[in-house]
Amino acid sequence: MYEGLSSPNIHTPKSLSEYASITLHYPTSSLWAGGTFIMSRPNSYPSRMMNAEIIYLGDIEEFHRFQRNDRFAEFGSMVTLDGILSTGKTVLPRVLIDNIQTIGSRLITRRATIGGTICTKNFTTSFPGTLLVLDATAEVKFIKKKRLHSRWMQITRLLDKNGRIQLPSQGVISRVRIAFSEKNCQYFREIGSFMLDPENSVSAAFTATLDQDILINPKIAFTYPLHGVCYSRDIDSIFSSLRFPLNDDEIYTLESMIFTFIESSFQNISPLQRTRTSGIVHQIVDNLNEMTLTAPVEEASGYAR
Amino acid sequence: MADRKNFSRYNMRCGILLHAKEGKTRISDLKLPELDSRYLVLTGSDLPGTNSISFMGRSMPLIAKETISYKDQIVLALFAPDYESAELMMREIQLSTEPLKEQPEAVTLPDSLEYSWGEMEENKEDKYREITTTFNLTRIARPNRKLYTVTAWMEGSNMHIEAPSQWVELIRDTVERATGYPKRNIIVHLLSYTAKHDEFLIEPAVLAAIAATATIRTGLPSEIREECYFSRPTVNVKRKVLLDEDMKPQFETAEMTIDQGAFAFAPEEYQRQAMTGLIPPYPLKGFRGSVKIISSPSHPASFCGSLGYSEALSSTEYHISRLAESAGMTPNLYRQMIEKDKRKFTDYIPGFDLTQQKKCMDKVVASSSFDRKWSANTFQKEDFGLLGYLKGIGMASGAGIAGFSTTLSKETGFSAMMTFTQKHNVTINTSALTHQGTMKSWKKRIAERIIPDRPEGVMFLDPGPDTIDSGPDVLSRLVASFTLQLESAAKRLSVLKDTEKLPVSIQFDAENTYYPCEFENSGYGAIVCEVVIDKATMIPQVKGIWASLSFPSIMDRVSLENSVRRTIMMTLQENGMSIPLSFHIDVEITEDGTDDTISSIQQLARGLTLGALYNALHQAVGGKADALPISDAEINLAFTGAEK
Amino acid sequence: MKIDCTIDGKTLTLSLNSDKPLSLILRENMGDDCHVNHCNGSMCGLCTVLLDGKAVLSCMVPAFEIRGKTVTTFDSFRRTKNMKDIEKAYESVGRYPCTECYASRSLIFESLIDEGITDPETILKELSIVRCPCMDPEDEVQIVLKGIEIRRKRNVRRS
Repeated sequence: MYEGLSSPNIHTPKSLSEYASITLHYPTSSLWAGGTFIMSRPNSYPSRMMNAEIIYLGDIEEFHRFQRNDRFAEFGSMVTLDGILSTGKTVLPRVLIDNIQTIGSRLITRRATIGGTICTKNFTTSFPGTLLVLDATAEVKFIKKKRLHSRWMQITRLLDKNGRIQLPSQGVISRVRIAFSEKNCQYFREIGSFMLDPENSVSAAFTATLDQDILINPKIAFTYPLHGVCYSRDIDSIFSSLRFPLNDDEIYTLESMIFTFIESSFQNISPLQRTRTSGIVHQIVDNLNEMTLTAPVEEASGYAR
Repeated sequence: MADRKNFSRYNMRCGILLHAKEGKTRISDLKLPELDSRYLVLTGSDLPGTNSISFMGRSMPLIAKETISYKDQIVLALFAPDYESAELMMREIQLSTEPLKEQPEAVTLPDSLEYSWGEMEENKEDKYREITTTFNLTRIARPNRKLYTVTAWMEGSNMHIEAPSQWVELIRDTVERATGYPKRNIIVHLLSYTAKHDEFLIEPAVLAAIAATATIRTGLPSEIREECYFSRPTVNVKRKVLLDEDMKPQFETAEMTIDQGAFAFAPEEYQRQAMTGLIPPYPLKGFRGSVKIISSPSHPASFCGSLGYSEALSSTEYHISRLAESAGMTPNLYRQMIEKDKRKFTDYIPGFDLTQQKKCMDKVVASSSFDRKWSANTFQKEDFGLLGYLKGIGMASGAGIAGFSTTLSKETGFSAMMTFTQKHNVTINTSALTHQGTMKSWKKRIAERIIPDRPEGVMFLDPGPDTIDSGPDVLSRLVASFTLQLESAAKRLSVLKDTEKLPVSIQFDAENTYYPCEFENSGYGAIVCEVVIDKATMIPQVKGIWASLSFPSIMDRVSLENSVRRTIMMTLQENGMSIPLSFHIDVEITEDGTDDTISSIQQLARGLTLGALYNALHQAVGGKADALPISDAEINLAFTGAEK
Repeated sequence: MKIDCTIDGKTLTLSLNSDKPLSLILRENMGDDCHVNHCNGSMCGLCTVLLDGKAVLSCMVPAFEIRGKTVTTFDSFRRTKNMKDIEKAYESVGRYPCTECYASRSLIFESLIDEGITDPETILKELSIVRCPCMDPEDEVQIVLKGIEIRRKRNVRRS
């Protein structure tokens, strides 16, 4: 064994009750899902921080389950992104599929888990934003009074005021439920690499139902990796009040309203993130304009990309 | 070649290096944690011999002593029983520095290299149209995240070094100077390597000296692990040209400034290579060229796949395109108007025929629809407002060179020896034993000339104390110059073996010397590059590359084509370009069948890609972002800055 | 921590730090510093190995995750018939990865050929993890398609 470096203890609970007892025993232990974030941090190894206890969640059977009915799909938090793609590519909302495919190589998506991508501390992935616009809910398991409790929470409720995911202490996401969306406008775009260039990258997820020239129940979330998820019902309301197609002036007004909100939430987004956000807004509106002008009167089908 | 000793990892020391975070500073405090006997720290004062590496007459410290000259300079080496312990202990070392109040010890730099012909004329009464252009390449300095190790161990009276190296003799020299260990007892075991940017030229020798010192101090084998580092110098070229009423250049001045960082290696040779690329291919009544080397507190940058020729060639190609733009013509048509059939003879490159080069140009112009796209982009650009058209196409063409200049070849005297033995075998004594593939090709070529059908009779002597130094493996000199020298020696030996008493040996230069010029032209090429900048993301993307190259002889067409493609792709990505899925590359290579020297593919393809890319970017973004490499953030800043 | 695993066909019991990345295990404990890089998490893609037959970045796999699993590095893979198929595909297309990324690219090619993936976008996404710029996208797709064809022919002959 190496001098000054004790090997971390790895706990591999097989069930939730086992997980609870380990967490009670070692309250400061670190949770290990796919490891894509932990292992890609500079100085991740050797690290004195990791010398304590590691709870590896990969062996908890419940965390690997996948269920679906005609309304929603439910994924255990240890289901990998590649697993989501292979099990639900045809039924899951397009915006989610696009998000997973944007991540790139399956060498990453085979290891990254849905739970890990949501609750990685100090680093934001584009996933919470996408789940947020899909009205996804997550089951959070937490220890209270030495007992394991669970609660279903909307992803919006997991966000703190800075747009970062906050779980109760010793909490873990066990399942994520995603409703099958019937919205006909779904858009996801990630520009830049969240892992390699977090200062300049941005992502946006948008869903809505376009009925003739108005949007019903629109939801839009922007994600800035070093800041967090930017979501507001006010912006959604602005989208609801619009009649498409928009002209250049209306687009400009919409853009400036969105920026007012983003800048009130995150003061320091980079100039390039600003340009890219603007580019995304323009693309969304262009797609909506196009759909409005080309869709048959009775139905606007398909999705915007 | 002796095998590496198979010692246990439990019985060795693993070393890592502490690099300075800032240059031009003084070490004010260095706090070390309490270390037991299993640890070893080496600072600049701990080397038993000279704390410096000497490269072709220039030197720099192996480890910074009091003054830190540049960011990332080695400050200390820490050896521990394993890398984990070394890493953790390294995090506890505290280095404090303070800015240097006085100027650091000045690095001796050569005077500016000047070259001219004709009498320069003043632009009186606006007789000529005056155009000035500026070409900027900013520094590329980063580790390429590829780890390599250098190991040192002692066996009897010998010091063994295992390392990847482009110049084995430099390792032996540096270890001897640093440790005082006699050179004859230093045995280098070469690890196979791929040097994309000559990254295994200088640094492995530095690491070897440090590891050898640790081995002497601890008595145990020592290994250092490090990421390979490469650095391209900052280059700035300013040109002023006077054009007559037909837009033909008449008089031109070109000033090239190169920032080689804190220490300059082979700066005089850099100047000669750069001057060769700086001289324009079109006729001029008067030309004044100057190449100046400056220093700065940054990582030493000399060799980076090229020694200035590629950069200078691309600056010349950029300049021609700007002249064409001013003349309202496509660069292709403009070149046809101003270039003659033959280049002017200069002290740097002979007056060679441009027919082959023009053929290459015609091919790429036709296959890429260059003239049409160039004109369309130019017209569209004028119609677009602040954001520009964001599409561009650029072209570059030129001739290749390889190896060192005649002057340097004379100064250094790198050589090799070929012997025809009594058993009718051929032995070669050279330090240039870097790549198995090249050696196989050499054996075949030598055998053809002396002992036909018996390549197994050609033997390269194992490295040892008597190995003759054939110089570094840079600028493709071992493939280009050395191959020809070996062939020529084989021809001479085939005559001598019948007339002299065996064994008969001849010693020959490793480098060609091209009197009365510094370099010989070899190989020609033209490259067209098309770029597009995504308006929403500001990411510069390369849509396509069309390349046509012509070489005197082709030994292995597949390897050659792969090498050209790799160089092009690498140059594009190094300079900030993104490669989309729809990217298309079309490379055509022809053999012109002459006996000319083989050119350095890296230098030629790199220079042409840089030139074509710079031209394409200029058309796409105008003068707003006028330096390579370029990033999406810089493009955005250029546009949003303009908007403000 | 004692870890039982199979590396390149050898069943081993290694005494390791439980969170040590596989890339460092292969470099330091197995002495394979030619084919496996360790980039400290900067995702260079040059540390690819096959873990139970699937391509993974070994710098992302901690020691405790290889318990009971089979690791195949390029060192042993290059001697297999599957590698011969890939070499034939290189030869047929006339393009080769550079020596730096040869091992990683070949293993990802194997993973794609094994799964029979022909969609160019999926192929390029999979290979995008290797950041070495030596190959252009068109050639990468061609190599995979050719490799699948060669593998299929070999399988037909065998059956």
